[in-house]
Amino acid sequence: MKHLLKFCSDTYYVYWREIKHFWQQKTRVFMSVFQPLVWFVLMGSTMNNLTTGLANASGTDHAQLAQQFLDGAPNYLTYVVGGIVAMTTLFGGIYGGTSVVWDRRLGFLQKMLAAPISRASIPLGKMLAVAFQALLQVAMILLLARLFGVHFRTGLPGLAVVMLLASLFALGMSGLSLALGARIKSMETLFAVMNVLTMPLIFSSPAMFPARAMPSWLLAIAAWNPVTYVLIPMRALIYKGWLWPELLRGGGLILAFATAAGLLAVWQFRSSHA
Amino acid sequence: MTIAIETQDLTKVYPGGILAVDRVTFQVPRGEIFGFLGPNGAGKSTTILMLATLLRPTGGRAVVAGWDAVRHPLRLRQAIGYVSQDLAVDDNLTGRENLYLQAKWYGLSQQEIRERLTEILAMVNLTDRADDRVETYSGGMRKRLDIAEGLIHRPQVLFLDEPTLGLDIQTRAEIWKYVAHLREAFGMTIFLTTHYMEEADRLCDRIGIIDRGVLKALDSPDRLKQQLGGGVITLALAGPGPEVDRAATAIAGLPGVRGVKAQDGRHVVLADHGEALLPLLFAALKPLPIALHSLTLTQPTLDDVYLHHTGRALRDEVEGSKEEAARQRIVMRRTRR
Repeated sequence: MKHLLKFCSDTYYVYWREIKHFWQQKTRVFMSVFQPLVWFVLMGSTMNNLTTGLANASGTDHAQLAQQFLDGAPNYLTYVVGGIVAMTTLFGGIYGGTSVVWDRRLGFLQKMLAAPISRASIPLGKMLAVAFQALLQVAMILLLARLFGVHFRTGLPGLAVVMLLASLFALGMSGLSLALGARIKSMETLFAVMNVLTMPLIFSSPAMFPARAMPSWLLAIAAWNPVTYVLIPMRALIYKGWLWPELLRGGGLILAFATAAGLLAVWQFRSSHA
Repeated sequence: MTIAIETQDLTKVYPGGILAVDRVTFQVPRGEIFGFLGPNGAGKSTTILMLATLLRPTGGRAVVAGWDAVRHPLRLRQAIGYVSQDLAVDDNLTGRENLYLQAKWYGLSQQEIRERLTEILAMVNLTDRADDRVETYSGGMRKRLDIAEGLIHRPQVLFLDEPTLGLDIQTRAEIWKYVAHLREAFGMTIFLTTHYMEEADRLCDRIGIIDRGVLKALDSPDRLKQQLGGGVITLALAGPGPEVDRAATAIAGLPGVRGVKAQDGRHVVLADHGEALLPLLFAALKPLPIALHSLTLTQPTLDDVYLHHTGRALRDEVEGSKEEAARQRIVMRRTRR
């Protein structure tokens, strides 16, 4: 019990430090809000006009077109909300590993390793901080979406679940990233690896473009992409409703992913040295 | 407990077969300031990392404050303070926040934290700047903060890795004062590495000289100097090469001469008694067809001791990674502001 309390306290103060950093970097706070706005306004509005424009030009009923091509979403903006949430949390999570490379460069990692704290506290505290930031970003995205006229089918309780799922996903991605950061000691290599990972993960999932628009080989890849499984329950909550089987299956998979990634990160830190 | 640090055949072989520390055995009694001297890549940092449980030995054992480094790493860490040469303070936090974080990790209570923070900030002269962000601090202030962090839990043993690297002479003197004070006020054992001879000479009760992973000498600075003999005579001889060599051989054969070494075109003579040797030396040189341009007699310094044990050859820095180089540049940049 005493050990557990100390462990929680140690983890909390790793988290505390990360959050202090976050609030102090005004540009980082600003960027975390600005980035989703850019995606939403540029990508979202343009695509929205494209899909409605196509429907009007071909003379088809828009609702029918959306039903067919947009996975049942009433319009593209509503469709893409989940995609932007997934993308933002993926990016935020995967860059979580860079903090450990910085800490190593500045010698702070060694200071943490020399302190009488459990090594598991270090990745866990950092993961929680990334998840907290993701929570803020997702709240911003959902607020923006509302302002742009997106109607949420499951209301506030549903949105709370979306936020929970998204931050769990960020937690998992940051665990993966921290595990990499514990091994890959150069910032340049780590960035290269992350860049190679992020874009393909997004575009081989139905985050931005619906599955109906994907060629069959891409669909085959999407079936193995974790991002796909994050999108299913979130989209259900946003424009379909409380579809329990999808929610439980998606939520369970994300939870399993986050747990596995967290364990991987902890394991990497236990065996790593400054 | 009277022994603070004890190693027995402590060995570290890095993957790839590099022998960094080779069966090092020594003891540091409680309350001693112990200095570890050696060239870059000699094994100083590897030894300190093993003692601080940051690196696992591949052989032998290390016991610090009564705790075995491999079997009880957490207990050991709780009993020591470790201040690396990296100036590892968090620039984005204030000085007080840095200390607070450290105090929390070492498990201090809220009450203790309040008292210690006030006390320690005063001790390192940072009370006025405690609530400023560390990025506005000078190199010396950062170093003081870093040392303060290592002291917050009143460790029994404090490890200081190159505590004054890159600092100006005033700041260096100030750090020495703190270190001496710590021993007096708390009876703390201090283990430091350095390659400033003056620092080792002024500060340390005993010195260990390590080179290529092997502990070459271990004693008090005075005794180490005495072991080198009672005087160092440096001669500048001029004349034809073979004649100079013959003169050197003649000098080496004189009674009371421990050795003659050619160094930078001069000859360095180690003597049992420098003053007594001088007349003999003059007498021996007089009949030879060479000129004596200059002669100095000095008592051995720690520099002489160090060079005697580590040799004069230039050292190639141990192959460091690119990442290691980036880290060192950052440290220098942060120290020199």
